[in-house]
Amino acid sequence: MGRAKEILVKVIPAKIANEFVKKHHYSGKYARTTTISFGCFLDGKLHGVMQFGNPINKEKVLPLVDTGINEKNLNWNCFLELNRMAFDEYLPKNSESRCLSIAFKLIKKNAPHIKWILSFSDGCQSGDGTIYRASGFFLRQINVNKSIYEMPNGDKVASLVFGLKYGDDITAKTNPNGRYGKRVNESVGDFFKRVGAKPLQGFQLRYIYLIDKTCKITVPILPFSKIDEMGAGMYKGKKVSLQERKLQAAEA
Amino acid sequence: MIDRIKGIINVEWEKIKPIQPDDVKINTNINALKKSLKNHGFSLPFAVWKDDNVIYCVDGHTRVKALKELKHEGEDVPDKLKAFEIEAKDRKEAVEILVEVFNQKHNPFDNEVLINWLEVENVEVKDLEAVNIMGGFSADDFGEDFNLPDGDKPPFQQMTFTLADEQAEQIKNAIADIKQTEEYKYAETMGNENSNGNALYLIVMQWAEQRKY
Repeated sequence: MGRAKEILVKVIPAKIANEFVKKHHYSGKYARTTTISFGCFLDGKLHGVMQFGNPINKEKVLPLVDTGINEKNLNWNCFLELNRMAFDEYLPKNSESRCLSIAFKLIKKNAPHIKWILSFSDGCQSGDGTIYRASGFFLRQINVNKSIYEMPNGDKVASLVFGLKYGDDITAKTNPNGRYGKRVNESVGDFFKRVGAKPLQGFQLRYIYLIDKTCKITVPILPFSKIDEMGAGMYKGKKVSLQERKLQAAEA
Repeated sequence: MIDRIKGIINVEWEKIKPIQPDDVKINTNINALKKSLKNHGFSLPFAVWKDDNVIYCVDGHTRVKALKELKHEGEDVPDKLKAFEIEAKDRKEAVEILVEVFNQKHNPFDNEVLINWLEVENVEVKDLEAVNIMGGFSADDFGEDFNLPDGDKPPFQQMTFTLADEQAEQIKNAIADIKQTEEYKYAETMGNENSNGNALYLIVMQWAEQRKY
């Protein structure tokens, strides 16, 4: 574990967390659905941020885990999505799993009604979820990416943002529709075709962590070997299989 | 190199005007600062810029706040305290010095507010990286406690439908029409404040009523 043991995890204001995420997360964006942000401090300074919050479609995700409470509405606030995890290069090896473990302990202590955590790994631009696997998450799903598109100017944008409402002025530059030139009443698919936006090559992986070990995941769990079977391996933005990484680690 | 320090002056600290917006700093350490002032006294002068007879704060905004709070809490704070006067040819230059020289030793800037403020002041920071936006606070400034919403789903929900443009147009027109009626004014909202939701509910209720006959 080494110096990772010295890391302190504290609750920090969203403003500070958002600025850090903008600077250090590969997407350069923070999640607006975040409800709690943790800061990871080493040698007195902030070197990492973990942001948890609500997923965009909570209704759809709720049935993934059986908490033992049958009434759907009573489960409404029983889980969180790990929206963003951003660490700088200063933190030593194993810091991420150490910080996640502390964050889960703090969630258990302060919000005991939170039973499980959902997270996504972006196997198009970032990684296949090495940290999640090392932290005891279950692999739930591997999907070919159909949601993140590369715009003609090189920006990577989730198709979802073109369906959201950003105030009344669709042409405003603060509105993704206006910024990228989507016409009023034009479908997102037609818009992508017209401007030549292409889906990024790669996969989206979904992971689940059970804080309350009595809960049961209601959907099939995938073995981690499925990542290589589907060719979904990625580490730090580069396509590389789990097997290759194991071999590299053994040689090192 | 210019020596910008014109001299040490006594200032009525309660009359020092802030030059920066109130929310440009993410204040995290006012309690620590108050504790330090109580334990050690006022040991570091303010930095001020004088424009005619008005004294503006270049460094010490948080100390002014802390001193005001301490005075309010009954602490004996002198009316005048020391400040070193900074030479700046105008407000713009004073702001530049504030941002680039006295950048938060303890409190980080809020990046967004800072950028907006500099635009208003027409100040270009030559090296924004040198302005420590994120640094300057430690783990001791934060705690481990928090609350998250518990319990049931709120009694409201959003529904999404896919419609042909013509269908959507008809529905929008129907919603706009029913909003003009007397029935809409007195319709049951069940606490919902979304006017379109209330209008759509009323349309459906009228349709259900008609089906009875």
